Amino acid sequence: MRKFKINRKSEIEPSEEQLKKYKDFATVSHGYKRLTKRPKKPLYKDPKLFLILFLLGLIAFLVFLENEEETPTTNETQVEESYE
Amino acid sequence: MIKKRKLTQLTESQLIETAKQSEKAFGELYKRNFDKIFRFAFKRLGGNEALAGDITQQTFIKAFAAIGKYEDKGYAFSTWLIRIAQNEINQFFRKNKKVYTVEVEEKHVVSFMDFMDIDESDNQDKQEQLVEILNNLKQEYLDLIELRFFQQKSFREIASIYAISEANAKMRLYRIIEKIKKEVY
Repeated sequence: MRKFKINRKSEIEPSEEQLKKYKDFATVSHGYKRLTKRPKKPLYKDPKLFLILFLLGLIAFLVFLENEEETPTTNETQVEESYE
Repeated sequence: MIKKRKLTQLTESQLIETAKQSEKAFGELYKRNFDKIFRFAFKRLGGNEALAGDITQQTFIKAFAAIGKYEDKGYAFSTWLIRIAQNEINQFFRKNKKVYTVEVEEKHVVSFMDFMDIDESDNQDKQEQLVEILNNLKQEYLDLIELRFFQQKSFREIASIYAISEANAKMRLYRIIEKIKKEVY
């Protein structure tokens, strides 16, 4: 949010010194590298991401177990049927 | 040394193409456009040099990251940079919940009043009244008024900043002026 106020004293223009002071390409180059470089830590070493990966793995494992439990019951019925 | 001399001799469009692969070429674009972008930010931030410096650096970092997507549409490269700077400044104002005071030069307020045919443009009370009306406008309306009257940008430049046609830029501005006129009279 901004509000205007009239300046009745001087012109709003930066001086040559101010322009020189802030003209620094090294900062831009450094900022660009920081913005685009890949993270140093591998993703799985990030605690949050590790937790997400762990939970996903756990869910996948539980789903697998659930499926495993379902398959023997079908075998049992088959066995029972053969006895009859 | 030869390379350096070559970069300074390149035209803007050649330099942009080279900058898509070369940091040095982008450095040359930075050198050529820094003053313009700093001046723009400095004026829009009412003379806050440290903030203008930060916004200018941030603008160039984002421009460098996005230069691969830049398309030459016949406007100066600086208008693309101004568009980025404009977004950065607006983002700053949105993030800062406190009210930020921006100073505008009296002569620009006077010329704005003259443009709108408001009598007694040198009357300070009338000037303050107009600024009060402006302060109650939507931020997007203020941006247009500021670019045209306080930053003295041409309609062509405004159109390229907003990526709209010149006719559309004129129409938007005149609609806002009509609204202001209704409040003044």
